Amino acid sequence: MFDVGLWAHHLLPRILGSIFLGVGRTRIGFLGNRQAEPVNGLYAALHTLTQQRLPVRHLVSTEKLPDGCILHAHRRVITDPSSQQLSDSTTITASGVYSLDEGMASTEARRECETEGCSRDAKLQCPTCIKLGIQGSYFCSQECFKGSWTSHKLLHKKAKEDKHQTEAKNCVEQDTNTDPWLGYRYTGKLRPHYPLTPMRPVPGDIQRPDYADHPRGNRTFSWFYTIRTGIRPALRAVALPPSTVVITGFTVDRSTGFQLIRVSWLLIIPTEVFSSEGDRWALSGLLKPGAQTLNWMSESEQFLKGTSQIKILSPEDIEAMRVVCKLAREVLDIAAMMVKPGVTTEEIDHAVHLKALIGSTWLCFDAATAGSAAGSGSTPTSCWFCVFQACVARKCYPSPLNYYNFPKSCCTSVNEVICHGIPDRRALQDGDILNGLLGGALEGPGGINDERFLSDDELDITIYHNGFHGDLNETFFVGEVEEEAKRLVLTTYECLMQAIDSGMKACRRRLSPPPTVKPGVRYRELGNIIQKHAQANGFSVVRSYCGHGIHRLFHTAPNVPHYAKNKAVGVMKPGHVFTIEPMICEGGWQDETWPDGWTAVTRDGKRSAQFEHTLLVTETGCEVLTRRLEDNGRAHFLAQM
Amino acid sequence: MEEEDDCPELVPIDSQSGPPARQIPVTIITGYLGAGKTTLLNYILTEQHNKRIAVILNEFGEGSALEKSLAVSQAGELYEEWLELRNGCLCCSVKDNGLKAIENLMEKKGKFDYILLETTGLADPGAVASMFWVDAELGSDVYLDGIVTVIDAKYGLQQLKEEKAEGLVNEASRQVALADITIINKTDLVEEEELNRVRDTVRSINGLVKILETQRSRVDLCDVLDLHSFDCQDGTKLTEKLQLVQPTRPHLDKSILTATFEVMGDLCEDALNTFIQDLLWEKKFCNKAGEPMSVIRLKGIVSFAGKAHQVMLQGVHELYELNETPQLWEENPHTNRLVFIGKNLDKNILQENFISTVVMGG
Repeated sequence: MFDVGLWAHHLLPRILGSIFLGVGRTRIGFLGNRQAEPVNGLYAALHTLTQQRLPVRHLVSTEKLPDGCILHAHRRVITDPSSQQLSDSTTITASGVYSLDEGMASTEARRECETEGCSRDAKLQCPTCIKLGIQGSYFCSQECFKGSWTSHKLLHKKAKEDKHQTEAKNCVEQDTNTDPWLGYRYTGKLRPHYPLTPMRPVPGDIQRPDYADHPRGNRTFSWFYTIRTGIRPALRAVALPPSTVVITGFTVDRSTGFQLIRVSWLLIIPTEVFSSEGDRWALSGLLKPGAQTLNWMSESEQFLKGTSQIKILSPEDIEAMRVVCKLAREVLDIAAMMVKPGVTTEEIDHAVHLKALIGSTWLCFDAATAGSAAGSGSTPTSCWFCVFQACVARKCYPSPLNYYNFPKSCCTSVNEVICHGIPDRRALQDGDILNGLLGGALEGPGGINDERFLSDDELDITIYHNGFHGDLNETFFVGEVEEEAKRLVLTTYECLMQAIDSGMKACRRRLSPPPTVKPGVRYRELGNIIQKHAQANGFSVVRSYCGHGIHRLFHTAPNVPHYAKNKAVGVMKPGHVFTIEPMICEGGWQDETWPDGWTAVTRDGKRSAQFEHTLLVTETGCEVLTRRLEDNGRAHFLAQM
Repeated sequence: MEEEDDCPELVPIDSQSGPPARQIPVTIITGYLGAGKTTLLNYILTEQHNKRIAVILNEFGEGSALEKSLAVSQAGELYEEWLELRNGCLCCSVKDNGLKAIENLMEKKGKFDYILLETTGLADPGAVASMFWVDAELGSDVYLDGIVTVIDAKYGLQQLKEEKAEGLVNEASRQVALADITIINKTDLVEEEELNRVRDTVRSINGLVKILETQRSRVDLCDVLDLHSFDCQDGTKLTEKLQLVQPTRPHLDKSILTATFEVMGDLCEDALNTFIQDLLWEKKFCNKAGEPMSVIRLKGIVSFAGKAHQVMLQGVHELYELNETPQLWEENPHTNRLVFIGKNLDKNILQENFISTVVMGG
């Protein structure tokens, strides 16, 4: 096994020493005390190298690192690291170990002892349960624990059996990898189902937002240019020959025996390639096993980032927004019909992708074809292909596709996923709740009559048409769902409607309440309303994500946080268009992100639901641009309550 | 392994949850090129060698950066860490990318004692401050401690007086306007008279700031760290400071200056919010020449009807916050004091408007 400590202490100085003897340099010493921290030694060594302005050549030449990481750095150009072929035996593979992320404990303030009949404060935990990943298992004292040991140990037995079963299952499903990030501790039961299908193409005649393509490079590995400044100005002055690759940083994980997690590197470009004199240009990148290394920004959004000027839309713009929001609603409605147990989220994404492209002419095929195809269990995608050929394209671009590198056309968030779930091979299970965040894709409500699991799905949809984006999402039930989940979903919906106007209750009582969204209302008020209602029902509001302005840009000013006492800037005026998308959780509000960089899950693994509408502020109140036109404007899940 | 009959020893619960036990202060160090910011940083690092201090250079300017380097000083050594400005939804998340990256790093590698952020010479410290001045509800590990501006005694006056084209703001004076502490550095290079002029100019821009004079950026660290300028801990100190603030006369025609007034009585909360929004967001107030007032920094202590505690008002550009302080009014007269730092300010117009719309029964 590769021992960084050994290497850093003994080999590296020797390698470097021998190299530099040739150019008349002295051996590099290490800074300070390295006994306890060999990793810091590595850093320090690299730091010294850059500080002392020594040319770095043949920096590292090692044998195979754990998990398939092979790393050599030479004076050669890395052409395409995604392939195994690099010129002159430079090989960098994309597999490896991701950093361990210690999962956070549950967010309850006070815990009670688990022993029957004992409700004293619990400050101790069973160590075997921690090892097996069983949540909870809090006890007040050793004696109390011993007392309930006979029943408690059954939990361990069951967990071990379950583990064996899942492992056996994984062996059977050879194609699907449900644990792509080694060592990552999941907060709930949901797992990603990799590999994802490749990014779906969008026909050329459909108008694309600025982030859809990038002028430089391909998507699997890209380059970006940067002038190195800041803490390493020394590198600019270093007389490095062109095409040198410099390894500028390593990250290793101590807890797994110093396995290499990440390498950041720098490639010096010959100056004749660029017109500007004097500055050395360098291509720099980050090689991280298991994750992408590039970052496509939407440049138009970045340009406006930080400004709080809220655009007031002209009547033409407003019309365009109405159209795109209506289209988004249609896509959601169609997908709503697709959600059933057994359908994978990827299939739903495919349907959404096509639907966005096809448009409403598909509707004439929908109910019968989609419904029966989905119901019979056959892949709905085959029927969509027929429809696709038969119909005129609606010319919508699914907004999430390639937005900051998001790989799919919609976000499907199941159960404990708060938002931005990536559609994968996982089949929806009965009892899931699904939220579909649409960027042109719809996910439909789940099937009925399966009793074993309870989950909720969220489907979030955004589409881009004629230069504008429309955004909405809804949570659907898959099959039969637990009462608690139903209550969560209903409360979330009420939070959204109350933020718009006192919708739900007033409808039942047939009152006409003063609308909450109208000119003159501060954007920071909405958070107060949402949090108040959520807390009244014992739920929490996710803080990290917020509503946003939407028109020509997918996400722009204003920021609309959903929690109380926020500092949101802005007052509503006629012509403003924005979304409200409260995410409500059963347990704590703390969230964390999976190593894919997108999927946001609750820290305690409990369910989360979300609803979203795009709203236009009018002279007298507001217009819900993404409202449902059938069924009196009620959300899909209400039919299943 | 069948250990079923062995009852293991219980372990204490791994309590990492709940509100952050300790929040880490972020100090923003800004100033013109060559003023002595880096010298100040190095001085702080060497003086505080028993603390774990993180230093970030050049803020988070480039949007397309994947990662950013961060230097950490611990026990006299300097080593490099990486902030992962990872991809993902940079859009609808409330916390800034850089802030999330810092929090992630602290989660993995342990908390720092201080975080110092040195901005580029022409940066707007207000924009950087708004990144770290997050709502308390977000439960962030990090809070904004204060803004320190370093000025070159020799060239500072020139930089502050530099005329900019219409509509553009003089970066140096904006940096002074937003400062909580101003360090006039390189005092050994100038005469007493010159130094007085610099001091007066700084005072004319920002009536609230504390001015320190140094050579080679050597300061007393407790004057620069742990300022708590943006939260309620500053309560009593703020009241004293506000009492001492005098409105300033501009040294230049279009420059930034400080306006302040005091009004007795209780205020209506909603009306105060509307007043501040009209001032900061809508820019409705104009001076006598008809130019809209633009406020860069806003501080105050106010009294609301029915609330026994003093309420602190803080604002940077368009962000503002009203927070109850632990101090009670008790028997003291309910004096509302407000300080505005910005351009085209007219104290009388503001005061009249304030009294007529915000003060109750006024």
